[in-house]
Amino acid sequence: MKKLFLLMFTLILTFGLVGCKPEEEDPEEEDPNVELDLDLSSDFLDLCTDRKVYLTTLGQSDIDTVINIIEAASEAIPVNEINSGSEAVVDAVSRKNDLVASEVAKDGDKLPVVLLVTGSSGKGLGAAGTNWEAEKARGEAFALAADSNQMILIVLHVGGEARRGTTTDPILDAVCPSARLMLVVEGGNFDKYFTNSTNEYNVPLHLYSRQAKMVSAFKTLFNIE
Amino acid sequence: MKLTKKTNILISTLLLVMTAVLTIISGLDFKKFADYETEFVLRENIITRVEKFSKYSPKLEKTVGDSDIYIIEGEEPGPSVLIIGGTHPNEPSSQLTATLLLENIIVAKGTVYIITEANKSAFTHSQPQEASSMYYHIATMNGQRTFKFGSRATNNTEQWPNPDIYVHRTSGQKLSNIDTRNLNRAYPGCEDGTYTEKVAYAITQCIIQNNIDVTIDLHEASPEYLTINAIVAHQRATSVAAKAAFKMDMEGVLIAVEVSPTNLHGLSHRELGDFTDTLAFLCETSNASQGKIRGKFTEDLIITGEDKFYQKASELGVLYAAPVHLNERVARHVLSILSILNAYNDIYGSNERGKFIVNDIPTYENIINNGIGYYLLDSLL
Repeated sequence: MKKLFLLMFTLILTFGLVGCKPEEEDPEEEDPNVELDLDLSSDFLDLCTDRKVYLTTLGQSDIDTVINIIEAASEAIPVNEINSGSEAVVDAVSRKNDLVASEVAKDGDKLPVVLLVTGSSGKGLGAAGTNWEAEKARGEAFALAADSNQMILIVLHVGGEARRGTTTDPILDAVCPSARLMLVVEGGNFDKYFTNSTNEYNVPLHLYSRQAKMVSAFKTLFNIE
Repeated sequence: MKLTKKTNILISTLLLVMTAVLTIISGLDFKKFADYETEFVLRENIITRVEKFSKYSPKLEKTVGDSDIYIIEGEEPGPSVLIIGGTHPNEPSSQLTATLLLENIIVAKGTVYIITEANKSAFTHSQPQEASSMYYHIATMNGQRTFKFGSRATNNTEQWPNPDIYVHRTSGQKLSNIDTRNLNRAYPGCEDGTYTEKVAYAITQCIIQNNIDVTIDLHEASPEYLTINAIVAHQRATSVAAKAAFKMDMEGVLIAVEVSPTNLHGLSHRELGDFTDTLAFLCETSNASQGKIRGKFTEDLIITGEDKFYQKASELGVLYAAPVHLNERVARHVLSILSILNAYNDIYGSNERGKFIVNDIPTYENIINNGIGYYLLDSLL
């Protein structure tokens, strides 16, 4: 009996000690964009000049903020409201909150650029009479068009952690793989979603400490001194 | 031990007397608090005129709710803004920001309307079971100023009892019964309604009758509340709010913009935007003293926002915004107001009424570095 108790005690102690072994931490993935507020490389210089540039929101939020960033980069680039069927203008940013891929027109050989402002707002979606599923469907159409070389997509996320979650992430999943560039305010990358995307899809990512720091990116895109 | 009937009567009488004494002492304390009038220093030749709420909601005359509206007119006519402070007296940066502007700004163009005690009845009592400090003090250059820390709701002495369910008058939306005494669930108000609705009606009518272009309602929220360090804007005002937030971002002060929900009624940013032509905004800062996970309530908590439980919660990352010092909360509100006015000038400045020109607004950095007291006037001067 004594031997049995001793055996059981030894077994319990052994399993107990194994259970106490600290979990090994996953080695951190290499993050190529940890440095914030970097200037865009010369590859992106002029990307938005002499082309039709469209601005829309997937999630009905933060588009006014992006307009402020563009205006801060240069008041020489006007942001015009466009209505269905009207032509976008070269050397202007044509804004439409519910823009669909089929409205984006080519201008000769030059591919148009679509700035996609991501980040869903429940209040914004409700006010616009839409929902995140419909926004995702719009996003998928843009992605399909970009994949078939009909347009260039730039994904923007400026609303921080509050603009991430179940109504935003599926939209990001749809558009990020097809983007030419992702410009993100770092609060939105709290879970490294965008750094993981850049590794997985090989899409360049630039992170900014705050919205105002993103102004430099638009200066490069529009080649503004 | 069995007590005699005589001893029982004696003990009962003694307990009743003790209860009566304690009730009278605490009652006198509350009476003193209710009667205390917070002083606001009105600068001669700067304050153009003072109006009463009863001008716009006559049934408030001779009631505690007949608050003052301070009006500062510029030399040149121009657009107008209403700053609402003191909607919720347990959100001190609201009243302090309104007071700081009242006692400092010079208006060159346009008109600034300032309310420092929007719901004056709520300044006459404190929130039951919160054990909050009744007063807090701000050291000024030559002394100190005393302010009251009141309740979120109208005093029961003005409005009682609460219904089981509060039905918002114009929308029919059902709300929590306590919200029947919440000014920020009573807009647009009603001339013949409850006390709180009469107060809301006065503010709405003030905006309509004076054709006020911009309304900014100042608030605070507990650090665990989602809408914090934010500007909430009516849908007609979102482009101004986004521009204002971006201007603040350029200054290194981060603030979120939220669009006023169309299906949540009674709030200033919803109803003042719907029922008047004003561009309606509501600003929120982070206030530990109204939060639910704080420890002991002290006057220091109101001022510094320091609390070991909030500190722990902040370290665990479960707060939407860490609580900060009252100086920073007031500085945020002042910068928000300045940014909204500048954004308004950018977007609407070319209209007939032109731009606001308001001088001597203390900067964000200066308020934090010098403290609020530096900008509050000594009432004895």
